[in-house]
Amino acid sequence: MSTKQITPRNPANNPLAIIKKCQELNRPVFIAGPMVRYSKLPFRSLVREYNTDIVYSPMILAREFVRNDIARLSDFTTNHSDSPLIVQVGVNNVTDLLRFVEMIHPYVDGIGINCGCPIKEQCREGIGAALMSEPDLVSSMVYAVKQKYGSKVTIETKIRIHKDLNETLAFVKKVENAGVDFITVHGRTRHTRSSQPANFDAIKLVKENVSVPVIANGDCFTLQDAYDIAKYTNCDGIMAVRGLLNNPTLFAGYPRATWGSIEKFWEYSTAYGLPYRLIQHHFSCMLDNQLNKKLYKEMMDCKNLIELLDWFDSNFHLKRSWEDGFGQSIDIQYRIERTIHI
Amino acid sequence: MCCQKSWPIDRTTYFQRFKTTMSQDIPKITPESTTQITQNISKLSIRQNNNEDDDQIDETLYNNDRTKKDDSEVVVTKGSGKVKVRKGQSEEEYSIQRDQYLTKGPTINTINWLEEIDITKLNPDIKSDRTSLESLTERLYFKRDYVKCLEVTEFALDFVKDQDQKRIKNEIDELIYLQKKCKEILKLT
Repeated sequence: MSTKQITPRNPANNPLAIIKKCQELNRPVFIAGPMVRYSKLPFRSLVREYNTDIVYSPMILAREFVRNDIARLSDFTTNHSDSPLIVQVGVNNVTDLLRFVEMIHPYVDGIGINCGCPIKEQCREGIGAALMSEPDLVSSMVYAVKQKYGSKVTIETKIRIHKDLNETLAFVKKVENAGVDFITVHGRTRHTRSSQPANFDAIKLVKENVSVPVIANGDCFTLQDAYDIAKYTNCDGIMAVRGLLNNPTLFAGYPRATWGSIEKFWEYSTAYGLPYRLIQHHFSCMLDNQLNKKLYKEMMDCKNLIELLDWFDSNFHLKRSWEDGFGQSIDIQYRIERTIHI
Repeated sequence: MCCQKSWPIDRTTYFQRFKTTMSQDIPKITPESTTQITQNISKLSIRQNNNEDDDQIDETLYNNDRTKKDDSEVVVTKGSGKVKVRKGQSEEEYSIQRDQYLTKGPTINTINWLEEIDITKLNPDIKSDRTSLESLTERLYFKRDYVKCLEVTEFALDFVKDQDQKRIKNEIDELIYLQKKCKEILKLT
């Protein structure tokens, strides 16, 4: 397949155009956030089928991407259906960012600077949440990209909040003034555990103090959550991450991952290729609390993809894409009626 | 990452609860503090006037990159306290990478890309080529095309026979397992 089919990008798929369209429809934009390892092409394709408006890639380290073709091959694969797509970048300096943007921008609809990843290894490199204490550096990076590309490149920053919200406000004002196109706010600090509720008041405060669109991130596990958070914060969009990993059909309003989505993920992951352990992890999340303990353990004990596929085929009706009803079932399609003891 | 998370059962009081919790930790935003912030950043407000000439923007305000602009050398402090220098990349080195990528573009994975690979052109020394071949065998098994799957699996086993067997033991074990499964099924069918 030629790269001509993925570039130039369709202006209607620019994130700002999507945000505007959703504003006209009087609903928040539904966004699948970046997940290290898990936001690969098969998962991106899956969530697009379930009412997700914009999808992020996993964080790609700019430093590796601009230096190493193996890293590029490993980190980023795409296709003509992979749009609207924002590629999230882990970066700690202007030069790497400008080079990264130059190389990747023809193939994506937006670039997101990761200022929220709390992983220690990244923070020690000055990447991710480490940037929350570097508002001037982040502003410089945003400014450099906008100076070079203007409206040709849409740039976003995904941030966490500070313990002192004054710092958060100062941060977002700076990056807004530097030219950022929109801001995603995760309503937790770098050190807040995910078991603690996200602070939607802080997100609301950010929304009230900037004029660029703001996306709310944190604690979105159902479609109703998305509407509730949007209403409370007045944000332009809602980003789900863990919620979508467990239920990729979330934005389509299903309370849990449908059986059809399981079938579709099998189709995408075997067609595009995905390491076995990642596939197994996706299914473990999607089927968590849906299978009884015995079945769940059997699934987790499978040692390779063929074993896992045989296990699915022996326990369930797993339709393939050429079979009638593929991807349509809501409930788990057991081969034998079971009493469910979760 | 994978933990199942749900909202508290009492959704009606959820927003009130986190407001109460968080307000204990976070300083209140007062009109005075917001005004102070606005004053502090007013000098950066280059976008407030859309008619402002770009030439008048004080670029020094955005020159906060602490790296060497030309080669992206970065100094980082490891957890142990050791200071490490992350090497830069010269313009020449970068140009090679850029030109290579912009010529070939990213890897495009369509629904049929694995089945369109010319497997005779793959290189067993390249891990991504071996991975593509293994993914193809899995795709064929998933599609229940066991005859073709067995054929490609046996090709793959032959393909890697000169590789360091210890280093790629997992890859070989999976191919042998796949070969066995295909043979079992084909005997039955």
